[in-house]
Amino acid sequence: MANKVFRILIAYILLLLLQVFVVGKLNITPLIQPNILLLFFLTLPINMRPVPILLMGFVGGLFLDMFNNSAGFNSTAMLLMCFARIYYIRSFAHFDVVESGIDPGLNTMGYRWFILYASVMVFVYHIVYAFIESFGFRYIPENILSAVLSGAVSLGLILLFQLLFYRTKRNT
Amino acid sequence: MRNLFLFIQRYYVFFVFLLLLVLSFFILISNNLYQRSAFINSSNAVTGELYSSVSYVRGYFQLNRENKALLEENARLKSLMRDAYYVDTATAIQINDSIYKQRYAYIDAQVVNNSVDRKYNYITLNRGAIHGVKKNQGVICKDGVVGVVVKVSDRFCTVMSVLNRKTSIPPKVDTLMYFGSVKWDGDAFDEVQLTDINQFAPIKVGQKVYTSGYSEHYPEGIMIGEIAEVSLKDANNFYDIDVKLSTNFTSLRSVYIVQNLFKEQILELEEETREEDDRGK
Repeated sequence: MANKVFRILIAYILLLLLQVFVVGKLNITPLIQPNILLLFFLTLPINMRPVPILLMGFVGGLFLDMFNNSAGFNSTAMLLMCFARIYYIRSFAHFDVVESGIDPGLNTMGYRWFILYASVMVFVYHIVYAFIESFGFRYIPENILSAVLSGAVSLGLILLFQLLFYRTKRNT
Repeated sequence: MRNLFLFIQRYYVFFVFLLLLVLSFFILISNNLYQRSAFINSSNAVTGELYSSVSYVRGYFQLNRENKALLEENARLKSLMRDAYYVDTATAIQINDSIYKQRYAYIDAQVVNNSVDRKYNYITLNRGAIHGVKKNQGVICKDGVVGVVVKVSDRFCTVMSVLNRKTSIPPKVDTLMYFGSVKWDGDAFDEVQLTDINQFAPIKVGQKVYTSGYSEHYPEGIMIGEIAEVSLKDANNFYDIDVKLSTNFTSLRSVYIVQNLFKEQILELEEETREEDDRGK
């Protein structure tokens, strides 16, 4: 248990630093702002209780906000994404899979399930983030475009990471 | 009452979610409207130190260009110094001394973190309260305006970049002052918009835009950029003007924080005038 908590903490810190110093500095265009930290929330153990997940989404977002000077932007968007995650897993994961308590991933849940799950979650995060950032409903087409483009890049990065780093685990 | 407890017990996840959502909206709104949140910004000790150590390493990759830019500026400043002029009378100097009181003082600073791709961009600098930085001081670089200090900690400060939707700078086009303002619409990081300029004003592409004397943050005549596009929408009395920024925000490194030494005097005077006005009514 302690080992697992430690591993989750390390994964969070590494992904946060990666987001702040590498992915956040890509400066592609203002429309595309990918976020690799979402991978952390997607791969939390599937049987985790809802309240810890919500708390982690909120606090985890707040730390990213601290680096980005965007107080409340990420914490709100990640909180909403974590809330969506609870209901998504409740509706679309088999009971015995949830009981087993694995980390959802490309090779644990199957490609089709994970890609669909990740796309929905990433889109929820980016659409909320885009609307909070523009603070109103004046730029609806622009926000949706931004959410789709950023979501696609985030999803690409997340899948790439899954293929690169999470694959070896099953072999050993 | 028992039913209420049962209800809360059944939907406790939703209530926890609601509570956290209210909390994060509170953070969001209090920080965006009043800009005063205590620690959720990059000028605090942890994030500031981390940013400055990474920026220290990154700095090595830009040393060459940076040195060249600083040399150029040194040369320009040297040519402005009194030594560079020939003094023909002694009285001239005395008159100069009593007429020209220093109005602006500059603190040099290094950028430790910067962003250009968000709607609200901020810059973190490695100077803070112990170096004399205060809230609302302007920040410029050798090419033009950079932003305004919004938060100060002991060793770091956060600057609201010109590339921020909250930006508003009173402009001067060539030599004429206008009541409009320079704003940023959040699209391109090398262009700002000049708004509220009357359609009868003589505005042409290629004119230079400077900060005006109305600005409380910047000295008069700091370069903002050059007018790139002027258009007039139907049924609108104001121009839509795009201004190409002279500051390159993607490679910003050395900047100056402007201290307006007369600011207190000006604010005090304005406050007094307002009070007298109120009393008059």
